[in-house]
Amino acid sequence: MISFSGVEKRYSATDSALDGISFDIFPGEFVFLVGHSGSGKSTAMKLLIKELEPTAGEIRVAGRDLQKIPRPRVPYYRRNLGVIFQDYKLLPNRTVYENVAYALQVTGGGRREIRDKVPDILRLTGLSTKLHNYPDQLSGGEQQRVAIARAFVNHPPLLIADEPTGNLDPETSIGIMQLLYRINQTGTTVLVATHDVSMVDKMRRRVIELSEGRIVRDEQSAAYAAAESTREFAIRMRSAQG
Amino acid sequence: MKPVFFLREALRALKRNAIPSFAAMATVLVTVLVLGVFIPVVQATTGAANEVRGKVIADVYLKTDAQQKDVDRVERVLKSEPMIKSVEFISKDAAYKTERERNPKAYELLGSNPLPDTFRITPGNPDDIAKIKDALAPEAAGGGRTVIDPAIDEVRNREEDTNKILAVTGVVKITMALLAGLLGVASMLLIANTIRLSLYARRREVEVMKLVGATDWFIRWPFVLEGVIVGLVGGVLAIALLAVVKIAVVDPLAADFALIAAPDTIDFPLLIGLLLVAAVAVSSLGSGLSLRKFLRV
Ligand SMILES: Nc1ncnc2c1ncn2[C@@H]1O[C@H](COP(=O)(O)OP(=O)(O)OP(=O)(O)O)[C@@H](O)[C@H]1O
Ligand SMILES: [Mg+2]
Repeated sequence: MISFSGVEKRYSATDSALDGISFDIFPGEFVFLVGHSGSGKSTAMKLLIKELEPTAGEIRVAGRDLQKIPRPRVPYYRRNLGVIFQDYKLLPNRTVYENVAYALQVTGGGRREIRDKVPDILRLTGLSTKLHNYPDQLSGGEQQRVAIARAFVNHPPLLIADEPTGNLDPETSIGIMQLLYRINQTGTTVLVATHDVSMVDKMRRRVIELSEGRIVRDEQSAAYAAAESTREFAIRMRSAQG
Repeated sequence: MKPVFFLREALRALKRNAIPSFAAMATVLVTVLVLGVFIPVVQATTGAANEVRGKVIADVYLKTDAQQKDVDRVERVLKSEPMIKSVEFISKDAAYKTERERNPKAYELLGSNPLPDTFRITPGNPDDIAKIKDALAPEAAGGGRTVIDPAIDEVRNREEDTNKILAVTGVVKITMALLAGLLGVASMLLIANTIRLSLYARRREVEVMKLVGATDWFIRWPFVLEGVIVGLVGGVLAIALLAVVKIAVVDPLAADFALIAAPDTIDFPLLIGLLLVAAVAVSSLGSGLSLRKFLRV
């Protein structure tokens, strides 16, 4: 699904944020990208959505070389990925409902499609009572969930989340992870960047660890329970917490 | 393209960004107002200057013994000179009549008519008057002038007056043209800048739209429509004010003073049409173009 080979990104001539990293992620996988602050996680995410261009190396998504997508086609490429940004990136002048609807409107979705899909995804993310609030009237966790709802409303084959549990309390974080897990269960490939190591340990999924722009670990968890239901998952997460 | 959706988006943006939208609208309003006053003023001034320049003439006096065939020949020569716009013949009898009316006692004393036949010529371009004189009566080596036709006695223009008129009206026309140009450029910059400021405040929004997969034109259309609305509202308000001023102040005055209704000022409907089109074009193009920088995500 995603393939990085020898990807390098320099913001300045002297030091590189990513120093030649290579990995492959397969369809349906749930993968964590971890590392200390400044290790290059967000940089990798930005390369994936073509917000940035790599200095060297090749990135392929669903078999397509990102370098070869011409500028006018970039929006169409982006519609195939759901992206949850570290800073949410909600539209401040739109309500929760309108923010989520916008993701459908850019793809040409009509009113009917919006009426069908938006309330569903907002129910799934637990935002049904906040439909008409503006982002600045929401808590951090709620904004995070709006970001998830917007990323997933199109049911993209690939969901990437940068620090989705950033500044949230453990209970809310589990709620968010549960949501991502449920989305993964529908067949969507999920890539999550985070520095929340305890969360990653509890999830027991594949982990790619970055340190100073290099991959220092890429391993499957031994106790990977592939067929775990969302409910079992939630119970395990909560018990591990205590 | 979905016009209804884009229009709704434009209206929403105007409502949610009321203060910058209002600032842009006010800018358009003030600019159109200033231009709407200034354009007729420029035209009236240039018109007046041109009218004064129209008074630049030269008189070609014929010898007093000139026969009708001489008169006809000189007239042909004058009419074939391309720099001359019109030639008016004043016969010695006609000249005598007007002069006698003006000064009966002096002409009573004279008895006979001392005046020659005269051609009064008006140049196509007042600045050419000296050249025309040189063509009809070239300067001779000795310092005097010869004439190109033996029947011509003298070519005369009122040097002093002519030079003064040409200099003053020339300065007036150039000043007005410069002012009009400056005002036009200033208006464009002012509107463009107001738009840029209001867009700058929303650049994050544009960036987010791009990152969730919106195409450039999907983002741009609402901005262009917003510009159209701002230009239209600002322009219409300014024109309404202009119309009020015209009907309440200028028209009554114009009835009393011929000056204000200078013959070649622009028609009011044409003027407001032009201003409105310009306001809408500058405002919408400004929005659309200024956005380009923020779309590079
Ligand atoms: N726009 C930029 N210009 C210059 N340097 C940058 C830029 N963005 C990131 N960097 C640098 O690149 C390195 C990697 O940054 P990145 O944002 O990828 O880290 P991160 O792993 O996401 O960190 P965090 O966990 O704090 O979000 C850092 O050293 C950072 O200072
Ligand atoms: Mg980051």
